[in-house]
Amino acid sequence: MKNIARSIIILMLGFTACNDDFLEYKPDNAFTAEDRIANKLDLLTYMNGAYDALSYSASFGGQFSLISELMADGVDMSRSDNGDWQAHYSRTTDIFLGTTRTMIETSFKAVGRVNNVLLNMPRISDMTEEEKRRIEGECKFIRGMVHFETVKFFGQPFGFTQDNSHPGIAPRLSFGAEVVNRASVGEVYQIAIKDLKEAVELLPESNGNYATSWAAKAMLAKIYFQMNDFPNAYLYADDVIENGGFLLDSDFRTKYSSGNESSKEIIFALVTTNLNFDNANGGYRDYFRVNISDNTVGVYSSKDIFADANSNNDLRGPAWFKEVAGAYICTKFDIDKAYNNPLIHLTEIKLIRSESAAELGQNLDKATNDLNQIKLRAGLNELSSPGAVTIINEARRERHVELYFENNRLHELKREAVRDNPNLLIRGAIWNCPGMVCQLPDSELKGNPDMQPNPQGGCN
Amino acid sequence: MKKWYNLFCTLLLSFMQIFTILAQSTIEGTVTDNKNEPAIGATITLEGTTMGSVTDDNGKFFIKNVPSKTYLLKITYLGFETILQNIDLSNTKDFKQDFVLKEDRKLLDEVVVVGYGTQRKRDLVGTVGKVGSEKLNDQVGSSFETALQGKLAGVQLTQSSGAAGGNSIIRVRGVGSISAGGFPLVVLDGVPLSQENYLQGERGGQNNNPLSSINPNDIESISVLKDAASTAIYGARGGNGVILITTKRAKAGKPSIAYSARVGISRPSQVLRVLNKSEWLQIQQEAWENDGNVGKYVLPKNLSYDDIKDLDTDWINETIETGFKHEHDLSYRFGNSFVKSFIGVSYSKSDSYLKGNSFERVSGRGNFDFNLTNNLKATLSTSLSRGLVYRVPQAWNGGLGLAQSNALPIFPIYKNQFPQSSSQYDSTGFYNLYANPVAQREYTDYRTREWRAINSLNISYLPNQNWTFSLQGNYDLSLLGDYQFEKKEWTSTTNIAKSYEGKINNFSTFATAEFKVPIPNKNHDLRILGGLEYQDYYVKRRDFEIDSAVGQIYTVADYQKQVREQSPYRDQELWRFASAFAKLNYTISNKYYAQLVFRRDGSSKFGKNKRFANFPSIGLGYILSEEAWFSNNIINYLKLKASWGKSGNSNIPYSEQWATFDYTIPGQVNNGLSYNGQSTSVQRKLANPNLSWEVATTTEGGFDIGLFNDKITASVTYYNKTTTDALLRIALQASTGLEDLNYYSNVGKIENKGLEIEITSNNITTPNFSWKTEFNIAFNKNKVLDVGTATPDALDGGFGDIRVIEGQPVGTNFIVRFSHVDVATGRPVWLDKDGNETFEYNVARDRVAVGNIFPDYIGGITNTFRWKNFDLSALFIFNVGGKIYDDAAKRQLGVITDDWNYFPDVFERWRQPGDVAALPKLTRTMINWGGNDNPFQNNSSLWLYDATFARLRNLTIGYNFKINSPVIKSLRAYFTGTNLLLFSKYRGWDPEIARGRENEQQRNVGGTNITYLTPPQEKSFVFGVNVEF
Repeated sequence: MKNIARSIIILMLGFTACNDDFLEYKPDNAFTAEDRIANKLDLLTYMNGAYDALSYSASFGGQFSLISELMADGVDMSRSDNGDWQAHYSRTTDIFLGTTRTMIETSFKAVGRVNNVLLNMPRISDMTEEEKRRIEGECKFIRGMVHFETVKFFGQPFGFTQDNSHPGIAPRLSFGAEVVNRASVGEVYQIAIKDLKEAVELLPESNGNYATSWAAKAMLAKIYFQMNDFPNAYLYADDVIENGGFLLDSDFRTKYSSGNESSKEIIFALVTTNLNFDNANGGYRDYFRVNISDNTVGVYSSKDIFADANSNNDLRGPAWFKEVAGAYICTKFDIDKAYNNPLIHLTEIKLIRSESAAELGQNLDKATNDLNQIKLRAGLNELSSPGAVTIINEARRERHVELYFENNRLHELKREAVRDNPNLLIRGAIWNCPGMVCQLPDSELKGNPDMQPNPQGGCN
Repeated sequence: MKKWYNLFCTLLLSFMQIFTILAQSTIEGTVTDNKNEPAIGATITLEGTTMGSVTDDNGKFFIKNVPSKTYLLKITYLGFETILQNIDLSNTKDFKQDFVLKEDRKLLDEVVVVGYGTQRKRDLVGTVGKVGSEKLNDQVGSSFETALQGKLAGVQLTQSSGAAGGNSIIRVRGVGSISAGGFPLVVLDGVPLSQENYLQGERGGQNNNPLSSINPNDIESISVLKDAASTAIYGARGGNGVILITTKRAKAGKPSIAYSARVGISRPSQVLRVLNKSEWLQIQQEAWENDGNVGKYVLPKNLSYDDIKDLDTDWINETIETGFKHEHDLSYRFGNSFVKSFIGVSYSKSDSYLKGNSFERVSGRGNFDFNLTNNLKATLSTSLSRGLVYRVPQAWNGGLGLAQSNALPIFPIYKNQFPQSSSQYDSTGFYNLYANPVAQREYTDYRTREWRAINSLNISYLPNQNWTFSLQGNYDLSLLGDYQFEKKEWTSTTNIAKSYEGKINNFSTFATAEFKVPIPNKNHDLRILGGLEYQDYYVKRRDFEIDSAVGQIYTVADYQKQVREQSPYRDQELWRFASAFAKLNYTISNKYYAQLVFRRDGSSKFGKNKRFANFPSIGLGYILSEEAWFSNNIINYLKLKASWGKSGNSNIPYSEQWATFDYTIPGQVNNGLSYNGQSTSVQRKLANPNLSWEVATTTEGGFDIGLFNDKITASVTYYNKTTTDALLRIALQASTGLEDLNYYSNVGKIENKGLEIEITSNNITTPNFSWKTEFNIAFNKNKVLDVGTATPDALDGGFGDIRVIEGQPVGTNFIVRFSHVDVATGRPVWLDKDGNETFEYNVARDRVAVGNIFPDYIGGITNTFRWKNFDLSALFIFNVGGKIYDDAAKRQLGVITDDWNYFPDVFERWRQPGDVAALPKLTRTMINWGGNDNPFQNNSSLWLYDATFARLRNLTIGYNFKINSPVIKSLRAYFTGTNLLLFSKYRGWDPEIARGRENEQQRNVGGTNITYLTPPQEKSFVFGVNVEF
């Protein structure tokens, strides 16, 4: 009997002390970064995922463009019952909006992924230094661009305070669970500029479908322009235009149409292959469903933009808009077919150079030429020897039409307000009322008890 | 004469003894029960020896070759009092006597099932509640756990709703977990059951019930282990209590057949109404004008007033009906000395009051007990059942929920209800361009089916009086499928069939050895139980969604016909568990009790360094009334108990310790994981190798008391249960860029403390009339002591703004406070977080903890009367304190929109300056309420209600026929009514609410008392007959 007792005790002790490998039940998708990002191919595959994140419809794939029109003057919301959109439209966003959640979540997926690439790349042994430089450049391009595009929605614009100490977003420069507080708008702009300047140095001039040094320079032009820093905006825009080898398409529709790979105008596009629903313009297609009999019509355009695009026999009016039963529908995006999403293109860079030159009072010939190329293409009359003020006004008008639904309008109006129109009303509300900034979503706030939400309201 | 006979016998025996001093004797006899039926399989032992026997089919037993000396003969038989008798064989050759067993009636000698064994209630040092089969007779077609409601102190049961096949929330002593599952462990005949509540998500506003396929008629008793002394033996999984189910087994005796049938009807506990057409138009017109519009309110959907002139649809009436239910249960028991068998089959079909909703259960069970040899026994328990729920959309998803929300009185059911002039509509069929719950119901077919087999085989070896070895293997298999078919008239495209199937394999085995330490001093009793347990659990699932379907993908033939590519099952969940445990029970003089339990558990869910944890407990008991000095005319029994111990919880998803990646193999581009024609890979989440057990430490003390010779018995227990290292689903900032913005970490601390009182009083006991009252009440105070740095929104309970906040109970209503309606403007006045009045509604700034979902105390009171052959029992349950948040009220009474209907209370609105009104001025935009322009973003204390209620949960009136028939042994007929009366101030449908939820955290935090169009509980009337042959 004692033996039985003893053997049970031994069994129990042995059981708990023995090798517990049988309790190692690892799921198929569980890896360490060392396993999953082990070599060059793994790293490039991971890097590809960062571009994929940019192409999601919730951020660069369409929603940024939607929100920037909703909060400005480009959309007629009387025909839509989407509650989240209504909140943007009435400038009363709060922390529980699906739109702002997905804007931060998806755009920062791209940042998280490039940060993970930067974290793991030093380990990778089968890459050349040149390859590593290129990947690092792509990472910084993406990181800089996302910080710039998101801070415009979630903080008051650059120039809202003298020193730009007003709160921006939580910048993310490393991968992981780290709790990060909001940086000032000025700091976020400096982070974006630093990343993009490094990207300029690291990236090659041509890089397949991925980011190039020209794309980084064009982004810098956009950032400086948004800051009303015209010398730098001019510098980068001019470099891209003069040395980048890009050419305006003869047809303004080309870059928004299927087959736009052939466009000479696109500086950086998000790629649509249509394989496995792999589209980079899904948001545009969803928001502009033009089939009016469909119950799920996306957004209707405002009368403002419809009128502006149709003024003076502008060809872009009939090409990009149609009126159905008193509603204005945007047809700018060739909605039935997939095409690459032309995120950065020469038309915008030319408009930046044109207005910057006029602001600086220099190179007005180049400024006029840039503007006239765009006007002529749209069937409008050329300007002859316009003054700087005319160039500025005309360039802004061209931006309104040409860059409709390209994540331009809200930020552009705020930039103009900072520059020269402190009393600017955007669809009836002062440009710097608290609600003109998107409230940070709960998904960003709840992981950090010290993070302060934006003030709300004040626009109605 | 008799005296002479006795004297003669004595002399004769004495004479014979001379010749048999060194001989061996035989002991024989017959054992019968109180009904004079032979007791088959009773165990006869001679204490202190290895000799013994088991009675045969005639109740007879023989023990041969017994050395002639004195013995203590012991006869044990389940459900009867043990017989102990000294016999002296030193003077006799053989001993022969017949024994009649006495039924074990005494409450405190009641045997209850505890972890890995049974114990007399009197011997318990912990707190174990028991519900016997006679009390499981509740609603037809419901799941067994619903019968626990109101019967055990500290066990809170909330049925999700009156929908058939619905799920319940069981809370034992409050909520001790936040992100890890807070459901108690359920063990059926030693089989730890799988409980996959979320495998099929929140379908149609409810979660499937993984316990519903168990036939309640198969259950003999349910024990609920509440304290650490009892639950520690289940270690890792006992932290939120353990429910032990024992199924029926055969008793010995002649074969018997029992048949029971029940038929009944189902209605909602109450029916509310929403606005009819003219009221709805009046409200709309007023809001229209209030907002500065002129003319007539413009109808939605381009409808003209002419279109709707003949319409006034009562959608609620279109979605509810009187449901019919019936149930049949047949069982057969027989037993001989070799095998005792219980075989039962059952069928029930119950339609709820929701049109189109029903639950059907077919089940069979076979329980066999074999006496293989004198000391080798085998027990086989096996069951197979099929539960089939015809779901109807409800709550947010359609049905009754739609009938009180988006289905407007101006909408038609049928196409031909529109005037013929509206040529855009043809005239047949359902009109489904607008919300139409009838069309949805008729054009869709949603089913949830579960096949479930629960099997166990136990082999026990009893080499002698002191040792018992037992080995059990369990296999619990569940095939749980959700099947949806939507006709093209509904989808507007093609017929769509969807099938989501899960396969839950739950294999477990345990071995135990029990040793009764032989101690010469009979006053001491020491028993040691040691055991090992292993569990292997995996869930796989496969999903199909098919366009242009010809029907459901429901049968194998449907698959072969419709599923073009065979999608393999993929892993959903897989984990292993390994444990060792030991229990020591020491009793002195049936007076002093000590119990030590130790369990060591390992789980594959945790990282290598944190995988194992120890769960000790100690329990002490002292029966004062056994002391010689204790003599009291009033108190006949008094026992003091105290215990301390730890148990754990590991109920989180299986892969949380790992970093995981989504990826495509380079070169393969699928799953949408691609860009630029190349594959991608992304890291989903971060690893947490330090993830480990959540531990609940319970300290408790109490006493059991019997008064007036057990006429009144009571049990009082105070406990303090503190959960440390609580598993929390920590939120990461969205800007971290991870796919999964949560990870689990052991950072929380939660306290539940409370008092439980159970009183049973036999008020009147006479042969013809008796009245018994059973009362229980439980007070529990829940408090979150620590959540690390988590913000309120980081630990949410799903919709309804229910949160976890440090210093507050687990489910706290974290909302903006409504103050009053401004008398001058009719605008709502809110309180900012500092209590200042403001017109601005700002959730980022002004939300505060304003209440919580937990009642202050809950309980039940059952009165049972017997008069001659009649019996009547009435169970009232009560729930006092706590709040209900009506998440739909913000639409049903809030901002006026084109697409919702309203409750008649909406007329309590402000109309003109000077009005002191309950509700603000009607408006069509939330901006006039100070918020953003989204009528859903309007959570506030305006929609928070007192949750107190009491209801007549169960009323049963029965009659037991006196039968003098050789065939029929007993016959009983009865009527049962459920939820017949309700006492509540809540203005909604029903104060007893459990909403469907997406995950364990939502269920812990906001599982109860947060309603969103949740259907009310069922009121049922059932007539039943039980007959035994």
